[in-house]
Amino acid sequence: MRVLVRCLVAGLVAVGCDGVIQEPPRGAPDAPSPPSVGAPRDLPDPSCTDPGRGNAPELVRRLTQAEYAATVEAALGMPGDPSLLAPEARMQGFANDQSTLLPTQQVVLGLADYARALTDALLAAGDPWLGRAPCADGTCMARWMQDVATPLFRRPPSAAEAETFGELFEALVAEGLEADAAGATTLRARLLAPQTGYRLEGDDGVALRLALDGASRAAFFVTGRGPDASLLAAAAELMAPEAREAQARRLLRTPEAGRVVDELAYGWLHLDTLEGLTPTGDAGFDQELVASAQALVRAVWLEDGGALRDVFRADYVVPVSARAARRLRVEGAPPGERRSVAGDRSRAGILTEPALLAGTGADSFPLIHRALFLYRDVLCESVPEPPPGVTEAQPGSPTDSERVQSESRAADGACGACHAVFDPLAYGLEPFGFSGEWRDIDVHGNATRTDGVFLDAAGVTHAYADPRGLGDAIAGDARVDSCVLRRIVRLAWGRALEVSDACDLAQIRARFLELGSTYEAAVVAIVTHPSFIATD
Amino acid sequence: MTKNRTIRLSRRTLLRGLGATVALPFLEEMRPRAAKAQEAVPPRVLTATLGGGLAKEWQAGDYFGSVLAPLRPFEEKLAFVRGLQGRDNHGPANAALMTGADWIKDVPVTTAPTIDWTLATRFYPEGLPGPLPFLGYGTRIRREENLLQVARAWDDTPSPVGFPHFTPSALFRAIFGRPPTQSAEEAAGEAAADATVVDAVLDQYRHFAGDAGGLSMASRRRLSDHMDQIQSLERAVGGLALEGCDAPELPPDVVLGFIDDIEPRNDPRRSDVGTFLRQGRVMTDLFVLALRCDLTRFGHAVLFPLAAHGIWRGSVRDAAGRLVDFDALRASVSDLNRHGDWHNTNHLLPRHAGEARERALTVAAAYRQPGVDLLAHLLEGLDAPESVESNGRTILDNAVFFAVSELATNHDGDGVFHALGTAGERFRTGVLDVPAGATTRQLYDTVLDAFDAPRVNPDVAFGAPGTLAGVRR
Repeated sequence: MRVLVRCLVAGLVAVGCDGVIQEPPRGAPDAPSPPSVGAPRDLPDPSCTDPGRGNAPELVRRLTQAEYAATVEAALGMPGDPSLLAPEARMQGFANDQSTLLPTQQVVLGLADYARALTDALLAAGDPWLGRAPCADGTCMARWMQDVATPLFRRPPSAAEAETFGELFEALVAEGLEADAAGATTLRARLLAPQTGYRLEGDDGVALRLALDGASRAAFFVTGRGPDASLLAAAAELMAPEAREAQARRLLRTPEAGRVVDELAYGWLHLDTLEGLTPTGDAGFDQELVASAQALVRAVWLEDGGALRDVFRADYVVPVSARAARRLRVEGAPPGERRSVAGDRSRAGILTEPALLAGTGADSFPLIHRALFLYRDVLCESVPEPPPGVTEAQPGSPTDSERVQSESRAADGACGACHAVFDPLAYGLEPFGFSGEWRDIDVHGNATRTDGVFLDAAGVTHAYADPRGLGDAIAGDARVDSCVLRRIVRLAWGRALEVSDACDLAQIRARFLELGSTYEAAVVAIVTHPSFIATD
Repeated sequence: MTKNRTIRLSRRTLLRGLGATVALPFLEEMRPRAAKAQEAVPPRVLTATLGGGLAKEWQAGDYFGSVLAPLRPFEEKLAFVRGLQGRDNHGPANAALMTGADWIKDVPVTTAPTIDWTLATRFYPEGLPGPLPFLGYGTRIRREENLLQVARAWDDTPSPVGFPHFTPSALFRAIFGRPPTQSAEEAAGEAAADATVVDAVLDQYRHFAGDAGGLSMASRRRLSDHMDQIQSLERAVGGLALEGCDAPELPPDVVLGFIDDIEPRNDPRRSDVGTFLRQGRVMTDLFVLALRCDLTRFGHAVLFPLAAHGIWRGSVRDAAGRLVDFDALRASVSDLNRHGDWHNTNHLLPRHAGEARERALTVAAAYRQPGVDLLAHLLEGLDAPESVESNGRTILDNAVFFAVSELATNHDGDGVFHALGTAGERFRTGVLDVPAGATTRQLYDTVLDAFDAPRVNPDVAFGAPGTLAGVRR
């Protein structure tokens, strides 16, 4: 979809750049909206009734491959080889969308390989019993499994389930396997069981028990893995929002919370785009740039406790490697540590991270794609698609600078209606090349510029002179926090937002703003809202 | 499903497919058993997608006179429906492709099942037969954020029926399982234990997918789908224990190396078109092998010639059989497109006229050619003597077969490429011109009518209803 919008031509004449909050309704074609650039875009009155009813689970969820690996690792105390797991399909950047969590051939075969490699490694390490006493019969194995399965199943296994695996152990021994091998093979069956791979947190596997389900929801949302022992122990209290808040705040202090922020940044900032682009020509280097961008978001949101919008005015970078430091123009900075860039007017926090610049700029028209990213994914504004018959011909010369080409689009009657609105958002990023490198002169010999104007939510124009000014303008816009919040809600719910979610979203947003617009505020607002706990 | 067949394929043959000497037919040593002739012909539904578009100009006049030249041998095997109106632009076009459905802006899913799913479930209302209820492969080489460009078969949820395998080894693994690494005795012992594990796991899935699980129908179906995939796992953990259908050896992973390197348009390690074609042929041959072994009856091929902004290196044969070098081609449009990549060359088409347009069109054609070549290779496999079935016709003759593209020139839906097999002489062959304004939806309804299958849901369909005369025999 990156290539969809060039010159929106008559589409803008017909439908306008409407400024309506995105997340289109499902089940009906989008309807044109009247032009209202800069108009307030509040959600409906949060005093609506019957909140949370639209979020009951209708479809059992498979764990994402990352959630599965993290849960298994936590349960067994031994990491597996995640490269054996199939890459997850992503929906609008996120891997946990319920519509894409399909049991594909790739997924099922990857799980089999992963489980086998893990149990083979346990055998090779001489620890198939995970430090517990070995078993010689099915009764012992059933007991052993009751201990081991709880973190895997996110609930205590039933006696019948444990007994089933005791019987499997005995069958394997009867087939001639040594006890160690039979134990490891039984564990492999546990790793492949639906209770491990799917969210089936019912006490007997028949009915979803709400509290356990809530514990899992909270754990996967905040830490990206199944619930820890403390959360499971507190599961019965989780129907109370205060208990959920306390647990969420506790989980946010664990190292695993960073995993979810990384995933959020990955999807929201289009960092997944780099999977197929290799802008540096070195996939390992690309990943270091991605990790550096994620580290910055983690630092601002989790370590500093800043507002969500503060990522656009962070005055430091966090390169994770020496070569990432060079690309970030802080050569010599120790990997993984913050390096101040305060006073450097060419910085705009996350906006000038090479990974983001490459992911949004890997095209012949990086200015358009970067502007669209800001317009859609940071400000949550909507851009109509070109109508049928539109061409994507560009006014102006292909050897003009990006800025001059944009000005040609803006002056073009057909293109200008929209491009004049969103193109200037990225003017301050023109010096950054395809893979985020700084250029005073572009490939055609044109001097690059950094000045521009930013139109805020109230329709007020703010001139800026450089990337720092652009970052400050964005960070000062009231739309940003609410827009990023929507991405976090989407991740929490694991699905696209719908019109029917407006009431829930409005209430969550109100609480989020009240709590200070931070990442922690977003998490607390989401987990304490009635929509977070499924109701029968 | 019957699996009582044997196909022999030597390592040497497979390696030839992967290596530089791919001129010989890859499947020449595959020999189906005589018993095959006694079996009934199963209904199959197969599709191939030439993603990224085929310009209307290449279908004009002598249909097989330019990019589509490799398809000329199949003029009497397929209906090449010319002049169909699809949707413009990637989102709407992909949503409508094979569905006839309208599009929801910004949502990378469609609103209706693809007609291959509708037909497959019409043929198999009790569920698609195993061991591979669905098999897909693709030569698309980069991750896509738009699911509609990756998953081409959608069920009535609608959710993707599955995702294609994008590497030879992954496709091989799906078909034949993991190759043995131990002695026969060790493998036999491990296979027995694995079978026991699989039984235990399947029992658990049956519980939750059954009435006793207490889950919603949608959840039960999802778990049931997982069980279906475990059938693949069962075969995999059993080593290469396909009943009577021997496997070739695992394609070497060296081919995978270039997968990650294909996209960067500014990288000197640009994609080698020869490697791309060799890999595509190997995957196509494996797909055909799975069909001949009757391992699957429902599948598709995603034949993207190149990711949007990719640049080939190497050369390809044009319609006249001449070798054309991509560096020279790129140089020929350097005044129009500084990168010489496929995507922007495609965009040049409406922007220029006369000589400049012709140059751009020539380059665009060269970029599309490998995808058409692979489609021809797939058709050859499905129509080869080894693919003759008990009724004397080939798999290509018997199956419902669709080859489609979502766009025509640039991002225009006017004149989208659609070719249709005869499906047991139900449909005509040759180049069929349809009336102006005829839509892909009307073609789909024409095909669905032929099998008494439900038409495209009018509540979500685009364009006027109706069917096309002259397509059915």
